[in-house]
Amino acid sequence: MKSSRRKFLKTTAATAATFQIVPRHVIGGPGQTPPSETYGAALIGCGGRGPGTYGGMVRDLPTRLVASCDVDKGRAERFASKDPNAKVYTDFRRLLENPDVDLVAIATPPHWHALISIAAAEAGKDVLCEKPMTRFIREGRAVVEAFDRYKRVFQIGTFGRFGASRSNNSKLVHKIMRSGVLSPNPGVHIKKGGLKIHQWSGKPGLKPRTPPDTLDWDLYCGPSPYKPFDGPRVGGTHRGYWDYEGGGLCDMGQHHFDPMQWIHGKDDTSPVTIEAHSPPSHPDVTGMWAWVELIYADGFRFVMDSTEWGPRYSRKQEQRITPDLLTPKQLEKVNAMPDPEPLLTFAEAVKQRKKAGGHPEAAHRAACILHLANLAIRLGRKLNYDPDKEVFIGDEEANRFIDVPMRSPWHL
Amino acid sequence: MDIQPILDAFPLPSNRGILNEINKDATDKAIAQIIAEPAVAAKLLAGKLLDPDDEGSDVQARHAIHGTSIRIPNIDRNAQVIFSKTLADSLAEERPDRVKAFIIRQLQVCGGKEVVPAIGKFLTVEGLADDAGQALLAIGDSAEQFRKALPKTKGNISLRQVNLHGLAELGDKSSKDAFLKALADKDGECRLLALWGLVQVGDSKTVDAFLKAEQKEKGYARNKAAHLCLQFAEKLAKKDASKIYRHLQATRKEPSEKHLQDLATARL
Repeated sequence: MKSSRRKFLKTTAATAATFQIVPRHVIGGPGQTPPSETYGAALIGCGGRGPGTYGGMVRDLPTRLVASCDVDKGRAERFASKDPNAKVYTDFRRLLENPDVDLVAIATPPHWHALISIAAAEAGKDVLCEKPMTRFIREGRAVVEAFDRYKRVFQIGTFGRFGASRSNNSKLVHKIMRSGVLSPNPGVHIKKGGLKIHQWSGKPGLKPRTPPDTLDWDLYCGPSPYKPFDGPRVGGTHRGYWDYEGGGLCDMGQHHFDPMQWIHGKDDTSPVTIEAHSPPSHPDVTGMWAWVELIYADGFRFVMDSTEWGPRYSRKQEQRITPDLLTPKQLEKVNAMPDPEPLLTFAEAVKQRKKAGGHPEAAHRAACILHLANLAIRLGRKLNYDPDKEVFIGDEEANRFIDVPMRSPWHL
Repeated sequence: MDIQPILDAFPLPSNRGILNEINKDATDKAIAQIIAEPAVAAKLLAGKLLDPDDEGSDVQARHAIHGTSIRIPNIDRNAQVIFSKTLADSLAEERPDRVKAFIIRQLQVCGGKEVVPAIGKFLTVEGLADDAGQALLAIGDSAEQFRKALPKTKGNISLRQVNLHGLAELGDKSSKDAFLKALADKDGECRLLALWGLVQVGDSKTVDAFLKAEQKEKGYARNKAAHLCLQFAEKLAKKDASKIYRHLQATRKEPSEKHLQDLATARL
């Protein structure tokens, strides 16, 4: 017997008065939840991060594995083997047609995150998406719009902000920042190291090879340029290729800066000037950079100091936001503010049909920090950004990297 | 101009296969030299490009061209035009497709209207049309190229997709009839691109044809079509939008489409 949560909710009224004898595994019992009260869960992208992302999605929810999907059929089959009834797909479009799927974990490389998330929302599914949320800025805005329109739940697959939101000190910093009493804001948060720039640098100039028989290479490339296959373009090392991700900065950056963004009250905006110290980047692969400085409209700064190449950042010292920076009157104003609302986990958001703590706008803004940093690294010039219109000011060529045309027939 | 010292300023992959031994001062200086003589340098650098299957390495040449393409707009506008025009001219030479694809991608970064016709020629060339289409969309002001190419793609689905995609993304109003015609295309992706094109054009006179066509789609395409219905409605005046919402109410009745029912109802 297979029945989705949605069907269950729709048909409950019609069947409530009917007495039926049903087997124990259907009605549930100790340790067993009836399928009709579980969420049909699916994983798209069954490589290295897949099981972890799926695990994050189903935590604290009654679920059953309904389907798995990967452009490499072998991977999809291996993950689906956890449940004899799970279906295997190699094309996410077919998986999203399955009405038994309620929840989708997305752990493909990032060049697919936005399009699959949007398609899932259109199909009425809730989504937990691996970080980084997107490959370029316009994708993030499209995800925000889709989840707003369809009232689906979206959570980004990084959870540091939940811990931060429970800390009294972080809550106080959040309130100071949201109060706007510090103007100009002297805060400087410097992340030293931890962005894996050597580890996730790509390898240029490799000779093309024949893709494995089990891999649909054309669908893997998807909206990104179709390039000849070579090994490092798949299987985690994809991070080193601009076609799919943005190096260690994008891989680790959302972990580091997503919680900091919440703490510093920047979930609804982006930096206005961005500057980097870096050599010219290669067209295919991510590479070396020294530091990036991102300044918000109020003066607050995020700094990424790679510590892996070139000179260290020396323009400013770390300056934490503390009550010591406030006058007694300012502190009084901050203390009068209510605490921020608790952030809902994905499970809570799904059950309550409310916005998750790592909702699309916050996730998009965190991804923007990474994309803006990478664009400053690549473009080699100071960038002035309008965080409302989400475009660079007076730099038409830089804007070409904000809304990157996709390979046909894919588009936002 | 001796191009070799300029190339040598850019690193070859280290023992780890990555470009960690890069020198910023040397590469910045090399790019300044290229920009000082943009025509000569672009021609010489383009001549160093190889097909990925060829013997030898063009990692440095690709790096030098891209480093210049991405930085030149902020340094010297005149040099930018000369550099990109010279790269575009090289597309007329007998070179491997994958070399041409690389050059087109660099023009996507630094090219302006002066290179649009040269790129437009590849919209009907299998294997290069995708690169050309994306470059033209990035540069903009390129609808004419897609309009000219589309009629030449009758027998080729992927080329038709590229050109319908371009016209749709640009919201080309003078392609309205082409979109209406493509609603009956045998290829499902072309039909979806045609629906998208009509949404982008946003002409209320096409609503009836749009709705008649969209309801024929199945599965994933049916959801995409519903999404396009909503986008179309959001662009139209209330009366025409209501027609689309009522259409969604009448056609999206499957349990799995309840969210669409609810959405259409809420907007009426």
